[in-house]
Amino acid sequence: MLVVKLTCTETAIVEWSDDSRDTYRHVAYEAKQEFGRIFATKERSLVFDGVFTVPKDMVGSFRSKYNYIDWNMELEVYIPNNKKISRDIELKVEPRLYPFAEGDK
Amino acid sequence: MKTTCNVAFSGQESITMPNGKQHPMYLIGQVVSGLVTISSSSQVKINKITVWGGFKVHGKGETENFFSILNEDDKNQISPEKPVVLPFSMQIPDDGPLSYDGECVKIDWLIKVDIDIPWALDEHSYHYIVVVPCIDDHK
Repeated sequence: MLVVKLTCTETAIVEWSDDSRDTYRHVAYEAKQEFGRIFATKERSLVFDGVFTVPKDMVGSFRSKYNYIDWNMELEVYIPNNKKISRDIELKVEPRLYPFAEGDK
Repeated sequence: MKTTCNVAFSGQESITMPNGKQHPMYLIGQVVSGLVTISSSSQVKINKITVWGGFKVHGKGETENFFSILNEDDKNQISPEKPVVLPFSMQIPDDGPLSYDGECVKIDWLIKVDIDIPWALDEHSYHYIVVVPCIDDHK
């Protein structure tokens, strides 16, 4: 099975006087698509087409010293009797680039 | 004696927040401009008035400020007959950030006015704006 997730995560860091840190995280948005049983061989790789739409009311990517808003595309492939394969791709979501499709306004 | 600080934003739409308060609304890349008027019911000596514009990132983490000075004035007094009027202008960058009210991270855009009064506590006033995405239907 292949699972593809689009997530937006808030991260907030507090730095204490003894230099220790507390990190708070919150998943602000998550969309998931699952593709059922799949077969791939050495000779035949699989290509999946998936479409995710970043909601128009969501914030873009942001990074400062102690506060982050990160958008990520996470891929997980579950192979029977094998370890799960994971990939995490960081995306940069910009607030002004919204190629809205007709009917999605 | 307390001063009164009003900010008039130039011809701008406003948005009603969930708490019922109305704030001026700007698009990414737009210019925020207006007039700060500081008045007082009696004569007050002033060291300096500073108008700042920018955004504050806060929430569960450390608060971080990203402000720049938009105008300064070192007029030495305000009187009921002669309020201080300071124009300001600030461009919101094309890449934001947008105003955001999250669980751990909040981003607030605002115009901040600091009034430095000799031999007294300084006065500060905060005037929030809301920055929303540029929705270009033609893209």
